[in-house]
Amino acid sequence: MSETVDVSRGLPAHPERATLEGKNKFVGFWVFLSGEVTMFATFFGTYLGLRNGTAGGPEAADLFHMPLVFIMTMILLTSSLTSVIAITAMKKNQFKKMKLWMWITFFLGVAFLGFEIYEFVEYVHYGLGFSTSAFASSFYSLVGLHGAHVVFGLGWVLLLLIRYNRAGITLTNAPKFYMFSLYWHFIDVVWVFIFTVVYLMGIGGG
Amino acid sequence: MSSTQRRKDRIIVDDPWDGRALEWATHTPVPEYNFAQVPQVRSLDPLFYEKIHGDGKMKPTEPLGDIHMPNGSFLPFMIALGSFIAGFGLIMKHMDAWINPYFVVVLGLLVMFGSMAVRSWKEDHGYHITKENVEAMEREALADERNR
Repeated sequence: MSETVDVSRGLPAHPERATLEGKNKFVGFWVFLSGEVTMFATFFGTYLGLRNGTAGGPEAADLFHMPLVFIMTMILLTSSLTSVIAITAMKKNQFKKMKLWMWITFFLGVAFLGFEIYEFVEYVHYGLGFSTSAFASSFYSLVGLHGAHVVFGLGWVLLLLIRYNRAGITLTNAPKFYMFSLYWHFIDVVWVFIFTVVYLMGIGGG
Repeated sequence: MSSTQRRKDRIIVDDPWDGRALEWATHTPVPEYNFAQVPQVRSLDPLFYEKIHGDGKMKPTEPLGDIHMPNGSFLPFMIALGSFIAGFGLIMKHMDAWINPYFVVVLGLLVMFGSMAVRSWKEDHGYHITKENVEAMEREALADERNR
């Protein structure tokens, strides 16, 4: 029950779940992620049901440009890796190293987001508006929802990095950084599914 | 009705309906910490189970100690309010209102995510009810029950 953790000899090995509050956050965040999985599943289902309804507008195979999507995938996968490095540094109480890798994660996320915006602008130029066809609406909803999650995640980590810029790693902020990294992995996993279901199947004509 | 009368008429029996579930296992009125010790749950109807197989009281899972409590906060209300405003803005598209619906959506989202950010920024560690105070409140609740 009590929150007393002895920090006189440095941080515990797992600062993110050394306190009751940290542990509770852990459980709560997994519950949140399971809700997110369900939400994304409905958007994937909608897309799979409607992706052939192009209504004479542009089709997936006309639009998708593999090199761009491949670069985006690599950027997001790398940002997941850098967040792992940051969390490993956090567990070793190396605050500066954690901050550096979290900033790298942030900027990789920004790069990903930039490519995604560029991609959407290109598609609009090709004549794929949000309400052009059922394919267009479900595509923009699914990929746009993922993009909105990236925006939220970037705002989140930016807030944490500014707030705890000089705080060092504490039992209060360690769970917060850890929850962000969980969220970021989730975003990454969703993208892997988007890459497969939307882009690979779109180009492969599956 | 005078306030003394109302106080007299207050129901202070702990388990007036011979209940089955946890909410009847604590005192009435419910203390701010709910349970002085987290009860051990041995069934889907834990209190009923204890009445049949035990002595009718929940067994504690921990020794009596200080209880950590969260501080009151209006931020959850602001998050909900922002969510409501944003949702209302989305259905305003067909209302032909005097205000641009996108403005309402953006305002709502700012209030919602802004409140979340404030909640994250402010480290609110809550407070503790000391073991002595918990014991005193428990004694008072038991005395209330007996004097009924």
